[in-house]
Amino acid sequence: MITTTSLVSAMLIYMAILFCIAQWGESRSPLARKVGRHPMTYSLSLAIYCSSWTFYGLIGMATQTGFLFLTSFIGPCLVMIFSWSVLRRLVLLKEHFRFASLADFMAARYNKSNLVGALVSVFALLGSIPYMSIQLKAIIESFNLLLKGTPTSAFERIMQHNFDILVVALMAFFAIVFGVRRQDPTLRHRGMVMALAAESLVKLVAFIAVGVFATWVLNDGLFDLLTYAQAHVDTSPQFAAMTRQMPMELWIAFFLLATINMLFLPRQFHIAIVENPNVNHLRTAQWAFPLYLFLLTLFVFPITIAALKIDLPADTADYFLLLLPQATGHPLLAMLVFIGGFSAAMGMTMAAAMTLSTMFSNNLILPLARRCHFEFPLQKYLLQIRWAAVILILGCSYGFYRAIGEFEMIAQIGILAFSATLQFAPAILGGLYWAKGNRFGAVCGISLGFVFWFFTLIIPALAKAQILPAGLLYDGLFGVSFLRPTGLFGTDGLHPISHAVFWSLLFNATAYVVGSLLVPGTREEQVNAQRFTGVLEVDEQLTLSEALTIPAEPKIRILREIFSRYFSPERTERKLREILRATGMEQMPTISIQLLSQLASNAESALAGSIGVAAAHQSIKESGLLTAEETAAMSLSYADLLAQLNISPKELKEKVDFYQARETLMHKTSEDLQHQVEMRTSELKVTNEHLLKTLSKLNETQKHLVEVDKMAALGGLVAGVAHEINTPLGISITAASHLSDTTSELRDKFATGQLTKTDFTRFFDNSEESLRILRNNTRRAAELIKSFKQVAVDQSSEDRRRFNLKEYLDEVMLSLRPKIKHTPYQIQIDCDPNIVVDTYPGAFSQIITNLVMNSLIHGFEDRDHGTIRIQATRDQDNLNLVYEDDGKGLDAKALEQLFEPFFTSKRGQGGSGLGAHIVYNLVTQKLGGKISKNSQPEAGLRYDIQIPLTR
Amino acid sequence: MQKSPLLNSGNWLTLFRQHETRTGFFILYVMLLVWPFFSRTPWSIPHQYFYYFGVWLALICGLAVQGYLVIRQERQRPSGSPSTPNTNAPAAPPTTTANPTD
Repeated sequence: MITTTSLVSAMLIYMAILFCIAQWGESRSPLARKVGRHPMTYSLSLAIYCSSWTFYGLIGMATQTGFLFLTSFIGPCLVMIFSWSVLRRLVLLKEHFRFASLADFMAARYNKSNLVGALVSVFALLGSIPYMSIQLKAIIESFNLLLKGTPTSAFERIMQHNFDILVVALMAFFAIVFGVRRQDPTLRHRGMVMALAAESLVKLVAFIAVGVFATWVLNDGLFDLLTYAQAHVDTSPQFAAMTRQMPMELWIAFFLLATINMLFLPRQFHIAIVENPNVNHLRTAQWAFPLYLFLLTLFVFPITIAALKIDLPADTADYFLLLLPQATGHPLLAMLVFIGGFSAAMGMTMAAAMTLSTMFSNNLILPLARRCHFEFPLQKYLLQIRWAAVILILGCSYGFYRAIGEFEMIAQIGILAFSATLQFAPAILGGLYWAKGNRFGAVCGISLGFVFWFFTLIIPALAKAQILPAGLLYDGLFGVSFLRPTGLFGTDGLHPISHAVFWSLLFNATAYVVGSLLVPGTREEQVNAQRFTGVLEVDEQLTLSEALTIPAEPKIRILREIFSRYFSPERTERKLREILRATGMEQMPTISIQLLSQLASNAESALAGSIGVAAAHQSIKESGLLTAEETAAMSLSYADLLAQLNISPKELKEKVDFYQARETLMHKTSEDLQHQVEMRTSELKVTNEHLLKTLSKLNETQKHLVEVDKMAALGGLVAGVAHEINTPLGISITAASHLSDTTSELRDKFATGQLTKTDFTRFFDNSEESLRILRNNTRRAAELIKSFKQVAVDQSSEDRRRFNLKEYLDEVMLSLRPKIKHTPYQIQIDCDPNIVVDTYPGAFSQIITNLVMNSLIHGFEDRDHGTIRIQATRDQDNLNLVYEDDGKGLDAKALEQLFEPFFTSKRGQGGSGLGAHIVYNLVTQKLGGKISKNSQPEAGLRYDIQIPLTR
Repeated sequence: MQKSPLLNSGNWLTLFRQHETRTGFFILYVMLLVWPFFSRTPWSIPHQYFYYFGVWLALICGLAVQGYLVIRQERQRPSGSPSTPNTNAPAAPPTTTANPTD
């Protein structure tokens, strides 16, 4: 059973996981960078379009309007045929102008106008707050529904009562930590985008899980459910609604709303444009994002029908997704849905709070402060202002939810918010494609559009919530029925949504066009507009002039003064250094007019990233960085340049464009290359680690094999020596038995008195002979044991000691005798008996043993004769050992591989291929010496070993 | 056998890039979507469901194929060339107009 504690814990754990993903996304890990830049991550992050309105509200909408909800999804997909060019244009403009939000873009387009930026910000806030309130509503209501009727402890009751506050606090925390962590919002938030992509996956999985459960676990498949609904059309108003065809104007209204919102919702604009890492990712998004929407909506009808089939109340349709698994006894699935819904709400809220807080600070607070001459010290606390804005926006959304949200269905509030964004569409699209569209037109259009939006949608909502008198809906404004909010100018037949969309858009677009045509913008505004629409007009009234030299220091001082208003002293200096470096005027006492122009442009661009395009332009303009004389000189200098180059202004612009585009392309290629190098380095690192691990394992195995080989040799030695000792011991036993028999015989003869002198003499002879045999053979056995003991101990010990080389070689030979004595081969040792060495006898013994065994097994194979010669000499520092046999030798290839581990000519016949390798390792590593080999087929094999004695 | 010029992906893309072609697709698709509105008898729930989702899936497949062809064409393009022919990509540098008096 789901309890308050388990639900809150699941939510907190999920938040922690998201936190880790976002943190990892911000890290410098190559994998994180690769995932963060992947087109699929970008496509998934676009799915914040699917907020909790989509997640829960679609089913509520399907029960009321049937297939109408599909327009909200097919519309944006269909527009993908065209939106590619709109989005691409916006992304390219963003790279050039560095705008940080929708309001910033609008301000930049309309002559860097603070007014346009402020208007868009205010209306975006007004439109977004109802939308954000739905998210809170969805989380809080789904939480309460899941825990309805669940017994709770006192602590859990406190938790339930304060759950809404907890949710708001968590959302604010997450939005601040990952969305508003940098002062420059144009920098990408890779961690946040990755968290959004993860959230999109979670909500998709949760929705599909319930869809599969409703379709194939609770019922007999899709067709079964759909035919059931068709069969009950007459008895169920919800099923009847599914067959009812909605008015076409409503389809068109929804289609428009969805399409425009997919492109221009403030949060959608931020994720799609500002957070876009590569313009080519739009190509992947153009099919991946529609596919996501398709998969998400595929099960809306099956879930709706399955829920109505088990008689879930139609007024809870918004939460069928949650109630269906809960009502059928699947609490874990219900919890997954809750997490999915939480994801949907969280993603939307986080992105919206981030972009709205940027608009709030850059386009409202800063311009207002400047206008009121209250700039200091606000600019230094830009980041903190945005944090406060996030909290304020979330607080307002929560207030809206408490005031109105409880009365409305999720889908209705969503439509309300969608209609608000629609009011930006004429100004945005006109701004991109119509050069005559200007600031005045934009202000008129947006303002009038919002007035009609408020009148046709918000006033009816407030009246329904009984905040305004209900009579307003029937009697109209000022009692004029022509001004009824739901039947403006007598259009009563229209659906409220179509009605609002039609009138607000009509007045908005008309005001924009008429306003732009009636009041043409300034020349500066026209030039700026042409930069956006791509049609470039260049002022050709330029005349020749002389160049002007300007002292750099006063200009730098002005810039320092501007920057210090917004940044800390350290950051101001850093920014200044960056700008001077970018302009190429470090440590220059005087600068040309062209450099000054470049300096102003770079400074404006650097400032725009933090405070918005309009505010940056205004700051630079008001700062006096460019005096009237310098501005005039700049115009003259430009004309001079044209004359020198002997080209027209248009041609110069084309040249500049070409080289700028080429530089961008080179920069991008260089970034791609760098990225590829990083990727390859990372892959090589992984491969290298893998190889090191394999090598380490191989070394371990080899050591083990060497140990096994050593033990096997020791075992062979024991068997051989035992066999060898057996002979003298047998002879000794025979001699002792014979002596015993002759003694008994002598005693018997003595007892019977038959003992003669001859018997006695024979007894002495026999006794002497037996004792001699006994002495010789027991001494032989003792010698064998002593040798074996020494060799065996040496082979198993790592100790170093002094020993006589000749004696030791004899002992080794003695231990090898069992292997040699039945063969026709000879071993000749040529060694000075006075050589005493201080080294590792074990290693020495194993070297000789392995070499001899190799000769016996491989060198003399199929031969009836063979000789091994071991020659040992000593000079001042080294012991020189020559080992050679006259066996069949090795060819060049085999000789090359002789010291390689596991090289053997007797694979599968007991040869381990480690003998020569062990010899090589003992000589070169244990004894620190050198070994060389020499051989030819049928000419034997020779090793020259040099062992240092002063190591 | 030589490939038909129409089967060449580049040609398909050129066709797709034409504004008229895209508008044609758009109108065709909108007509498909509104077809049920002009039906004399209301469509049943299963018919509507399979019709709308089928039409939608066809659109996604079309967009995916277009995306795939564009990406493939870009990969085949020699490195260093601009990605797509658009107004923002660098065109060839304009030659300086010769002074007639020279």
